[in-house]
Amino acid sequence: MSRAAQSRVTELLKHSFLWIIVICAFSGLYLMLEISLKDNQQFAESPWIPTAPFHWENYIVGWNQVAPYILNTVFVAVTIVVVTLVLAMYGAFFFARFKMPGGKFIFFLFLMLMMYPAVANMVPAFILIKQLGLYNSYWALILPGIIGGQAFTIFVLRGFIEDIPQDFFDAAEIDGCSMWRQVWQIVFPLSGPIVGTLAILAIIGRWNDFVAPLIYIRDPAKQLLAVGLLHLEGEYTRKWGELMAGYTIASLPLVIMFFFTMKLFIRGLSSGGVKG
Amino acid sequence: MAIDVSIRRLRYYWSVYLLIALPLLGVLVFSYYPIFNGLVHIFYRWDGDTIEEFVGLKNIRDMFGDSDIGWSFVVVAIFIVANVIKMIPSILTAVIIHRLVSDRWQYAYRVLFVIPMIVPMIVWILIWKYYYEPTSGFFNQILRAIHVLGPTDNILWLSDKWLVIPSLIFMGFPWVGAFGVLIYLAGLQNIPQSTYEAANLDGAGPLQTLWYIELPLIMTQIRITLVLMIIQTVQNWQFVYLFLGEQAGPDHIADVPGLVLFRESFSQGRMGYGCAIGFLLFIVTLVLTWINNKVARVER
Repeated sequence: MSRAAQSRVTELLKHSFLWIIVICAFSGLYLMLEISLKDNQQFAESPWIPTAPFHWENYIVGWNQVAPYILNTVFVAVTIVVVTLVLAMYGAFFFARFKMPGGKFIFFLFLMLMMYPAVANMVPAFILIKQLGLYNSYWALILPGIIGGQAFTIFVLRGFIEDIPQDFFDAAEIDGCSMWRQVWQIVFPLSGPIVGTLAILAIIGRWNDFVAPLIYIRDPAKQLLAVGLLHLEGEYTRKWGELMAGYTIASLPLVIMFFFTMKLFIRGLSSGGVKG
Repeated sequence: MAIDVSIRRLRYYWSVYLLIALPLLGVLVFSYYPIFNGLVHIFYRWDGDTIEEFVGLKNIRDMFGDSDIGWSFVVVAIFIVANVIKMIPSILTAVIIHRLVSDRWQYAYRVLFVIPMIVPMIVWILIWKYYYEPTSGFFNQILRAIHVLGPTDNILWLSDKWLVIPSLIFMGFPWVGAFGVLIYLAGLQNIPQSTYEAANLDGAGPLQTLWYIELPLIMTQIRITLVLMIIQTVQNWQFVYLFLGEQAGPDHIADVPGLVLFRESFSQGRMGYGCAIGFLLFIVTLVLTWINNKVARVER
């Protein structure tokens, strides 16, 4: 066999291996989409392939079931992520630009928190929320959410700000620019990609979080997506088509976000996640 | 360069502390206060409400005599071993993507493998719950279609005592995680082309290249994901809860420490006991991190 033919065969082998994995990895999503258009009888007769007639109305039912949870989750997640990033940006500026007395100790306080398992703090944090009278309100999700994100975000942003050339800040200083404005007018405009990556990772984290809403939110109308979906699934008579339509709708916001931010996303996962 | 502020110049610079004031205050109130409150209540019988009674070391003694806790660490050990094996498909996939000649295909596969990760974890778990459902679930219907199961037979994947843990382990097949694949790919990209050419000249086949060049050179990445995975597995209880609820299957068969903590604290009202389990988890995490630092330093 010639060399060229041989390399074409090995390429083909690699592609077939990868496609087998891709097909396995996507089979769940295929089944979800395909079942979402069936009624229960079609589902019982042929669960694996699409069959006419397609029941698009499943999506209306699914939307009605899932939409309130999605809206609640978007509200909570966006609030947490925006405030986390703004606070952490100023905090990171503190560590990156100044060596203040006690600064090292404060940094250590934040670093230690990354070591402490969230599950170990679950009970006393719950009691604190109850004592503050925040139980069953969104404050119980938002405040600990913002604070919980500080350590990691400050840690990443500090490294980023340290890499900004000194001249920028010197020039600003000479022009009489206060440190608050330096953050707003120098750091923020430069930080697009890293802030984008951090925001995406944080949104995904919030979207998947189910412990906080499970223990802090009692009122079903206020519930967030993860716990809401779990309740839907647990209901007695299952209409598989409507259920799967609901799951599809619940996945869509993140998928749409992904298609707009693919590059940031892949870069963030391959480097930012580890290097910190 | 950071501005070095000595204590003497502090009165000109005190306002710098305002930058960190809110996060610091928040962390003290919402993280450190509960941590210390939890540490104190290890020594109390506590329901978080009216009952608060000092009991000394009783919670800790109870914990070491609690068969649920003992078993839960066995389950964690089983999961860790399984998860080590489940790392292999991601490594192989990354290596094969890296070896593709075409850059555009490399990028396309990367995107393809990220998409399943965008679908929320909860949705994946619910899809897998459908797979395992006894009467209309995917697996049993496949088995009926190929006549392994009779038309009315069911395999109770998530309620047969001896199938629960294997079912949980099998979840996520083919176990190719975008996070792992992308990290390994980042490591593989640091391997210079000349290394491959040298290996090729010496007549190294694909397997030898994998074993002697690619694996050793991405060892850093493998160790990072391994450590993260182990710490994750020790702390994670959400996964078991979502599949099996707080009872963790028949006879608490799939109990993990975090789930015991949750059940004892929130269903039994034994919050002092829950704090003790939490402290134990913290210690285990510390020890694991310490071991990792030791091992990492020795190998360098």
